[in-house]
Amino acid sequence: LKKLSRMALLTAVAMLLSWLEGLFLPSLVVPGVKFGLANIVTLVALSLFTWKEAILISVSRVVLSAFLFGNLFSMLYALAGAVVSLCGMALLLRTERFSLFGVSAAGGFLHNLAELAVAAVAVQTPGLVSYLPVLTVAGTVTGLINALLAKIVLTRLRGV
Amino acid sequence: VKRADVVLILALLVVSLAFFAFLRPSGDAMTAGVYFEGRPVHSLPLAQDGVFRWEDGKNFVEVTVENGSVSVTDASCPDRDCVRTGALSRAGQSAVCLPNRVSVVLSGSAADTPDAALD
Repeated sequence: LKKLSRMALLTAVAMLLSWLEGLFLPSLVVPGVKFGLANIVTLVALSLFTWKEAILISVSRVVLSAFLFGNLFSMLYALAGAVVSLCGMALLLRTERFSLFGVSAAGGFLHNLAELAVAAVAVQTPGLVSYLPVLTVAGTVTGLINALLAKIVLTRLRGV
Repeated sequence: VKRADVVLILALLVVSLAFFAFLRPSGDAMTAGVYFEGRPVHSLPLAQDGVFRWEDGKNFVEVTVENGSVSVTDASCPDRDCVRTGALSRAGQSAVCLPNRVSVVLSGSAADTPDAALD
């Protein structure tokens, strides 16, 4: 039961983060580039729970956020990105060779790769694909930033 | 940070560079991408005149391609900065509708002029 409430709490935090991010950091300067602050929660969840629980948190966050603030279209993107990046991160963590930084960078990379793949299918434009390198580099960099933030959160959490 | 991390991160960047080298837009196909909250919702080839209307409830943004340039011709936002941006014809140019969180960005092979994004 304690675990369930913790997972619910993390889901709520993740939703809040993605909402706040949408409010304050609109990704308009470079379209498509987002911080993906909610990924901090995913990293924390992956570190504290198993990957199954992390995916549950991630998927409920995406679905609930889409119902509250988004639309079906954006949910499809976010879902693809979230699931692909989470699977990749879980696998990398499992090898126990990488720290949170490498894992998160790969997660950001995969997230944007998956989102663009969905976009390319949905919008049917080859022109979009040329945008891929920008997105994957951005994903890697924001992944590193998120890892740093997740690290800080985890250190604080250990005391609780 | 472990050494494996550094290798992994470098590998990711190299793959991105490879994407960049292999996925150059072909020819002079300039495309206007329409983004909502940073996610692509539609794209219009500049070679072909056409109108796209993005709608979300009461909000809308109307994007028109005409004579090789693209412009936001109508929008539901109060300030209408995006409409006043006028016609875009060079890669990297963009028209942004902040209230609707919609942006229109031109991309294409002419995107190699990096200062285009700055004007």
